[in-house]
Amino acid sequence: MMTLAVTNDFRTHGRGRATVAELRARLARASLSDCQLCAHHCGVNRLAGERGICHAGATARFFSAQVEVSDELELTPTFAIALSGCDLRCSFCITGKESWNPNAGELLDKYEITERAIHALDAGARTVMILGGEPTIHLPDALEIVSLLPDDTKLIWKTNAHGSVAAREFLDGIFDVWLADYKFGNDACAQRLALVPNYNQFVRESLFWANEHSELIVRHLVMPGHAECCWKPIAEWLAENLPGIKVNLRSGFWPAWKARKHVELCGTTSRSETESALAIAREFHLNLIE
Amino acid sequence: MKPTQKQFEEGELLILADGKILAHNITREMAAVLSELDPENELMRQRATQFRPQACGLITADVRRTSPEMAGHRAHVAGAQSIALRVFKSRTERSNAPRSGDMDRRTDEDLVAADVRRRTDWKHLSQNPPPHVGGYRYQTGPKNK
Repeated sequence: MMTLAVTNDFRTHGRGRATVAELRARLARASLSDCQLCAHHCGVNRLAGERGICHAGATARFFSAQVEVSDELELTPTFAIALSGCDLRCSFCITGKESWNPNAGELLDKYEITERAIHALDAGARTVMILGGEPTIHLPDALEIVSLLPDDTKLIWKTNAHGSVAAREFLDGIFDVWLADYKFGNDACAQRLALVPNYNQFVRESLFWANEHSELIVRHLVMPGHAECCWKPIAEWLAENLPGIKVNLRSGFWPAWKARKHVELCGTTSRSETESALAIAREFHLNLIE
Repeated sequence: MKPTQKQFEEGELLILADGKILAHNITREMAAVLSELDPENELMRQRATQFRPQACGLITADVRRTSPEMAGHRAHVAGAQSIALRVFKSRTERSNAPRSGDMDRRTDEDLVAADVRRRTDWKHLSQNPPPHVGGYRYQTGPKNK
């Protein structure tokens, strides 16, 4: 694994974020020769054409870049850049076609995309959000985008929180807000619905780290039939370990992509399930935001 | 900007048979439309007016003109993977709905959910609409001899 040559002291040493992001982008790109960016730790040489679980190569593509207002109110309007490909295989993924395929969308032109982002900021967008798929697998490109944005841009890292320690070191101090999606409250559901082992261990490590190094907002999408097995353990863990953290409980499950493979995911979340999920949030005194 | 790039913003709506609407990747214009459907929803109103409200107003006006059966209906945002929105159908609730001019109003039974299937196969192209609007070369009269 590559050792970072850049320390995380740029804020105290007067280095601009853009400069640090540029340096780290180079290191992150070099690290693709032994890719350890996500918790799968495939170790493949993406620079030489090898592919790991995410199937991503050395260059990033994007399938959406536009101003959106559907995220947390305190973050919107945001210029959201959605990179193709993901390290998870969530069968209900609402952007599954693009998230499961890193070749989807268009080749990322960092100069053009940042030009559009800056234009959006000038026109009234409050933040720039980098998401996916999962942006962690395209960390070099994400950092290159940051290196071209003004230092005072409020940056959002929207992630599945399944990144590695190495990825977090590259990201330290770069993004103002981590918007982390905590999907499964137990590893059995994570394995069955997203083909990911030891999910909770990795996600919880990421959330602890993100809370210490930036502002953290945790999201959870209530899935039909999973309020008790997934949401309740998550709510309980958040209450115990990250008390007061901002939580956005999303209730409009959309039976997208391959959700029909799982009988309980064929429909939407019922009103009673939504109310039950809210009751759980109240029971654990979570700090819910919209 | 490269000519191959999308020149427009995209959001997605899923309209269920029971009138429930799910929305994903909500743009400011879509928020304006959803806010129009649910004028009492403060969250959606905030989303609609956060960014360039004058642009949203134009879009809303277009919707009123082109989709009179939708404009003015009261709806209720119920939360979503992005945002879910429920269009109420009861007469009581509809009677409270804000009116917009002399637009014709269809009966509740006439409300038809949008065809949200992705039009990737020939049967669903705009040139080949589904049977309920006369597509698939469906003939109701006697066949030509």
